[in-house]
Amino acid sequence: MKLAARAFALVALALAVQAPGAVAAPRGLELGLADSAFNGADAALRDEWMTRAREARADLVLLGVAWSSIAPKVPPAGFDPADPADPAYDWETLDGAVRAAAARGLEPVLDVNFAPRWAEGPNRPGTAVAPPGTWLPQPAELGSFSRALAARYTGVFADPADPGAGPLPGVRYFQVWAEQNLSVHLNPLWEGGRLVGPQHYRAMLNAAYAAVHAANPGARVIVGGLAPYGDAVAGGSRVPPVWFWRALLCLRGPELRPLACPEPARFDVAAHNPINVWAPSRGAVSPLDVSTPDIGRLTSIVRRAVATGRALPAGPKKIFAMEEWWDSSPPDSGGLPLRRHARFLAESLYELWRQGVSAVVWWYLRDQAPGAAGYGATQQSGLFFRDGVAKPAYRAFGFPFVARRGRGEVLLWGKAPAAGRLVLERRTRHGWAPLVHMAAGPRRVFLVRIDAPEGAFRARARQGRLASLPARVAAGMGGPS
Amino acid sequence: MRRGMRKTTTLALLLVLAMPLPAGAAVRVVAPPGNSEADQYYQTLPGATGPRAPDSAKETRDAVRDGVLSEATERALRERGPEGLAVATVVAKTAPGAAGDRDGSQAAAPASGVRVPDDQGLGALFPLVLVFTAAGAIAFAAARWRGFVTR
Repeated sequence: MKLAARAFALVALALAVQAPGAVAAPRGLELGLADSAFNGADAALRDEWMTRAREARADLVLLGVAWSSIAPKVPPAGFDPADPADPAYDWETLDGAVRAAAARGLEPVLDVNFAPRWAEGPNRPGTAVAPPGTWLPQPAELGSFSRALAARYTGVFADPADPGAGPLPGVRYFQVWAEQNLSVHLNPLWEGGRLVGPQHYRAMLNAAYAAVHAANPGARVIVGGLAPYGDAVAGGSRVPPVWFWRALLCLRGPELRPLACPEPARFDVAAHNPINVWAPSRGAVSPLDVSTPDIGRLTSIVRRAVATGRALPAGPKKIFAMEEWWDSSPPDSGGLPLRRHARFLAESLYELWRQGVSAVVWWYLRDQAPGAAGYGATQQSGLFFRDGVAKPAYRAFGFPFVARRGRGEVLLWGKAPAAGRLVLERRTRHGWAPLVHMAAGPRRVFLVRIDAPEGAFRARARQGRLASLPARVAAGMGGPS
Repeated sequence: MRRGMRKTTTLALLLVLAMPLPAGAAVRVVAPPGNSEADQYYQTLPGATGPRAPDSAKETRDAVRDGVLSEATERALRERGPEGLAVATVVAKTAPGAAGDRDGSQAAAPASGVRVPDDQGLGALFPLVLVFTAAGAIAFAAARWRGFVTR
């Protein structure tokens, strides 16, 4: 009798969700990975982890472009910094990484950082104050390097030094610097109590923008993602991202009053690094910081800037999250337990997606080795342990699935491994029972709202033989648990 | 009348909580779990005690695993605007066992207490404003008590 009642309840539930409130063709979400192996000199290791990135269903790989490593230490006579074929440049490692990514169907995002000494500005203080490559990177020199970089990866450029290898792959995304609101990346940030970093960065950005688009009009220039937290103190080494964005885009105060702006910032994509202190749904305490659920603080500034001509070209800007991670335990005893690590990953993807973010890069693919002082100075945020064994986060990255109970409904969100049919299931005493049958579109993101009974239950998404981690549906928030 | 006093006191408390902090205000930090680069990725919260070095592992265990407020409650408070956020912050930091309480430090100020360049803090005026606010609240309550002020 009890069994019959349960079966009846299940059938009733299934009938109730036959016509779920699915959103037609939800926005897509590209997923990316960063890893130190991608840029390493060890080609075999790079190839192995690029392959694993593809198997993890990444769309993008973030490749750091250390300008100071590619450029000559001292420019030789006749050096043309805008020429992608100038023999003084050393592109070997980057070429290999771009080729390896393209061969696996991964789209590279090239992030330019760290100027060579000769391209830094005058009156440089010691490296204890301004680390190498961070002191007033000269916009004109950055423009020349950006021109060479973009011209090299148009998709038709064949390296004269290696003509047999064929043309280098095309690259669409170029990021200009990263975390330039931190003094470990850009200096000076302050001068006499005045915030000057954003103005200098704007000149760098505009020089790179013009150069990249001149070499490849179809390319997309990304503003360097800012670090999420700053110190609301003049002269600090970490500028709060909201201050930095306002100054970059010539807007003043919480009201975003437009200021005179003779050279507005030019970019195609606004990026941010929303690394969380807490769970992904808990925002930064300071209204000047931007963590995972606070992307609205960034988008409101960017929208205002576009509307007032302080961000060019006119038109909507995409938002990318270029760095998201939590360390896991094991191996780092200070990290999150593995299941929670996976759940936070999936939930952060949903949090960012629902705020309009269109690409998220997870740092890293593989755990780094501990440093001399233990795990505190290296990343244990990988989808894989150091020894190559996958964590639950690997499954959450390849098939993210989140369940949240709202008012009178349950929201189920995820990204299917492939376009096509999938089934959302509910855990019963007798196994997994279908809850909703649906189809994932070409962007693979699905979102469905269903009427569901009160009380907790577990749900998951399944496509063929692949299943997401289960998410617990409860009052509040669910996710793989 | 007592209700009126409570309202006045609440108003005064909210005013105090909403005050910008002086430039030299102390900070306390909260870093990500198992944080690999605690010197870069930590939150600073305005506080009443002196600066404290980040202790990422402890902080995150405290905050993520032993969260004083449920996420739903905190979200609900946050949605109520700055006052809700102030309440959430104070509750989280003053509740028994809360992260900020374990070393005897006092409650963190609300988010609205962070200084911004466009909204400069009060600097040395801050303590005076506090005193005047409190005095004003007491005077107002006393006036109401004596019937000088009516609704």
